[in-house]
Amino acid sequence: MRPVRRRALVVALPFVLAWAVVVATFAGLRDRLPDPLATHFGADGRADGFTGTGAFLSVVTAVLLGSGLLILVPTLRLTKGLRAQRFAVALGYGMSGLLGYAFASLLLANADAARASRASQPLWQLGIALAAAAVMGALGWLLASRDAESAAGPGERTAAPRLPLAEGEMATWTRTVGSPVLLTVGAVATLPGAVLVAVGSGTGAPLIFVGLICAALARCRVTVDRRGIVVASWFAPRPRMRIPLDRIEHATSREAAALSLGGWGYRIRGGGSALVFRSGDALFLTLATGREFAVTVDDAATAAALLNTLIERDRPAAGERG
Amino acid sequence: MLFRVDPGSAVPLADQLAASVRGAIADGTVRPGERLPAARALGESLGVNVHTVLRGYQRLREEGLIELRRGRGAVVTGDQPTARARLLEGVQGLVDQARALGLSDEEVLTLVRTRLAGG
Repeated sequence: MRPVRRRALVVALPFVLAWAVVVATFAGLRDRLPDPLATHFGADGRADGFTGTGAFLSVVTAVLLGSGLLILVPTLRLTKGLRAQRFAVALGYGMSGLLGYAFASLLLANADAARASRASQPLWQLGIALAAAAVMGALGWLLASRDAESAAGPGERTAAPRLPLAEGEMATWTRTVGSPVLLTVGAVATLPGAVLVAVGSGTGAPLIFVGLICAALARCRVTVDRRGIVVASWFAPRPRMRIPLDRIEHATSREAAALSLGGWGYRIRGGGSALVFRSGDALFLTLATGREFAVTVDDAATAAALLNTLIERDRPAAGERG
Repeated sequence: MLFRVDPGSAVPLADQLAASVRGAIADGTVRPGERLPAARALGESLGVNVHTVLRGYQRLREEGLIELRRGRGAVVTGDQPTARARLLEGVQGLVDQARALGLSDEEVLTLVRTRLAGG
């Protein structure tokens, strides 16, 4: 089966199943159901809201198949495995479990009640519905986690650089990177800020704050090791940024202009984020969430190779599948 | 720069660490005046004892490649460290070859002394 179809099936299946279960329950209980149905219950478990059977079925269909469709459409355009989107998939499974159980138990509560107003549904049913949602959500998480491969094909993965390490050999790559731009901005903001504070104006304080953050980022150390990647200010404990190894899918390196990454400093763009010190050699990480993180640093090729090697060592199964 | 240590190797970890730095200085990856990572941080990163890292740094200091300053950490010295690191790698190569040939330490020293005396 093509990966796209398989993914679509995995994502849409719980909604279709939940819908089928509710419709089957409705068909099975048809003769014993009142019309209208009791569809809302107060805190004491007694019915206080009613819906006709036709409208009930329409709502069930619209909610279950509609939300299934809403989740399905974006997955058709996915270029990566579902693993990166496993939270969304698990959410979909949980939601279909919750709704499927809620609708079906509603029908069961209505069955055999001569009039809908006599139907009752105790509050603990909500607990069971949530438990059903949790079980389905866990199932969705597991199913999505199995789909780690990239839809772009194995070429992209094998092309990623590697750094041969002996078994048990430990390696750390570290490099400092300076930013003349951030240093200048830091100085330009801090000095007038200090002058303003000195003459008794409160407006200087935010300037100093911004300036010091820029200055702290003006020189950073980027470290890649068995734990992942850390970018930390050269002399101050903060700000620092850490991405654990298990949240990184793979790494590459290429030249990048600061403006193409959105400017200098910490930038957030549509597809991800970047720490930009200067134009030039940059390390690009594809994260498990499907987003991208970039940091401009010299000799990024070695960093990328080491990261890919460590990821592969950490997750041999995922590496073999790719 | 890339630090790598292999606990499975016969070479002591501190010497492996020093060799990483020496190689990086020799090939120009690390330039004069550059600061090496703090021993504690590097130890945690590699999963080796901080004293092992300090022994490696101490070795580099004895070789005249880095300076160890209190509070400033390990800094690559400004006095031609690149050429010095290459020379040290050459010495290491000499020792390795002599050992492979089965020469005694005294024989190696005699060889070197003869060469030095010959100008």
